[in-house]
Amino acid sequence: MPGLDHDIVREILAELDLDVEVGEASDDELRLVVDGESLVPLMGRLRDHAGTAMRRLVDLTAIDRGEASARFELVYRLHAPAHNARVRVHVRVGEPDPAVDSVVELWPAANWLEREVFDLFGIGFRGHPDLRRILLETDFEGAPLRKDFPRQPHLGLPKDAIR
Amino acid sequence: MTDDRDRSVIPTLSESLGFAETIIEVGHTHPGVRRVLSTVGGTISFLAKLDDQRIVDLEVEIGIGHRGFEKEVENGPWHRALPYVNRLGYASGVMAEIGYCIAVEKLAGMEIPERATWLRMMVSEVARIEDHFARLSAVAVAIGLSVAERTAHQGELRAARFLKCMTARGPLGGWARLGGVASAPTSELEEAWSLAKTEIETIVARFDKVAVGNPSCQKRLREVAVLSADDCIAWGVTGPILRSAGMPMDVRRDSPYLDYAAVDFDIPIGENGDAFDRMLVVVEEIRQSLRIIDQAHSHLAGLDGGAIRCDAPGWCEPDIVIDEARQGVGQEGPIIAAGEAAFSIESSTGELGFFLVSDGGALPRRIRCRAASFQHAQAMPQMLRGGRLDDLLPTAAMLHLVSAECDR
Repeated sequence: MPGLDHDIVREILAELDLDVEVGEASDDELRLVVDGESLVPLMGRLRDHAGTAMRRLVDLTAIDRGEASARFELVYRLHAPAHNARVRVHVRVGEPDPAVDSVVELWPAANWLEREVFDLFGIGFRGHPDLRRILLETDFEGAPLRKDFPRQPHLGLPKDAIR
Repeated sequence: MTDDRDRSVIPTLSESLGFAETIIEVGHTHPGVRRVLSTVGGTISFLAKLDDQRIVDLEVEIGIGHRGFEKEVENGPWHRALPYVNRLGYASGVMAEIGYCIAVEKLAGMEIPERATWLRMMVSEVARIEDHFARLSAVAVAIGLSVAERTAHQGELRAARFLKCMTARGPLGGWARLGGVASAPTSELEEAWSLAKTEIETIVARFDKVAVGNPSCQKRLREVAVLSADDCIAWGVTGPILRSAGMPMDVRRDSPYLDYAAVDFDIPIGENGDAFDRMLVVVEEIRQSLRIIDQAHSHLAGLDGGAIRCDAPGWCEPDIVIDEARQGVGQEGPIIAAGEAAFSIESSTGELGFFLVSDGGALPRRIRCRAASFQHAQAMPQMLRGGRLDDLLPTAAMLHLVSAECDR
């Protein structure tokens, strides 16, 4: 991966005393897996440390893994324009009441992205200034991107029936 | 009309008369009537809180065109997403489609033939020209320059005609395949390209004269909706909008895909990050796209034929008739090993990204689209607070918000 020294990332992790899995993803983004408590401190350091300078939150989304222990996986994609480097941070969140701390303070771009994840996955973001639905209408019930949400509820068919 | 930029010293009408603030709703409109009523490519609406003409606060309302495509495509094979993906661009659907195909190929580690990558690059740039012209004509409508609007619209149609000649399909695409492309252009490409190139160059030169060099256009767009480079980065704004603020960031240069590393092109940047600089950047990008197409065209001529698809089982599958598609026959698609891939292209609006997760079966676990328009719409209040209500439509047109992309 161009421009990013993995040792700097390891240094940041050691400094924050975090036990984080560092791995090279199948693509050219560095992949980190953290737990919910260490998310905001880690993100803050990744953004502000001169060696990483992740000034841009590219994307935030979630995956419904369907596993009992930690069902959801939040994926934050970061980019450092100064180094032309990318990092992906994964956070596992469990049920019931899945929620993590908001990163809107760090990147204003997170505002709508977190609202979208809240809207479509029903995952909460603590400290978000305005957490409400964004793509769906306000009286919509359920979180459609969860795997247990039927694909076409109006037809009353199980989600595999149409394939 | 717009020369009183320093309004802070003049009391506004509501101040002097003691009116309360007004809230006005702008939009939404039907996506099909874009050119006449709305300069936004689709159904986005705005709530503007006004003090006289000045925007005190702005709320952008999106989601009206939400199709739930990320849900829909999780229940079918990988290539089933293509007809959803190619609606992500206003006039450049084929470019989004190519980006999705590359993301899936990256996830699977699939190599595609050289000729197909060069064709994809050439088609992407033609689509970029078409979309850029569409953006310019929308801006021209919004500021009332009818000659410029017609000129840009001509350019859009000209690019569309050449795109059709290359792909044998309309602007929505349906041309890219997982593992290749559906068809190669016929032998008349040479002639068609030299003709299209000359005509598009003439149209760009004319647009330069009637819009860019037009003092009223400059006056109208200067210092409108300014967003600094730092703000762009913080709000996730990409593409020509970011570049107009002086930041030479372009995915084609920063992490080259297709064969962008093998062609010469410049990345135009602006200085002020205002609407006029955005127009300058977009016009120059059309010229740079012409350069790329020229090089891709000569390279393809040198290749002298060759495969346009890979022949692994399950790949490049659906050249099937529509009846079969309805019944789901012959559509197993590729089986992709468990893993994840993140990939972005530089679309005409900005960074269009895909994040794919596979469980190792024929069905995807997650297909996520990172839409540039979504981030641009979010940054609009930041750009327009303190501006005037009549700056709203030119700004929306210049951002080229595509609601199908924004709402997904």
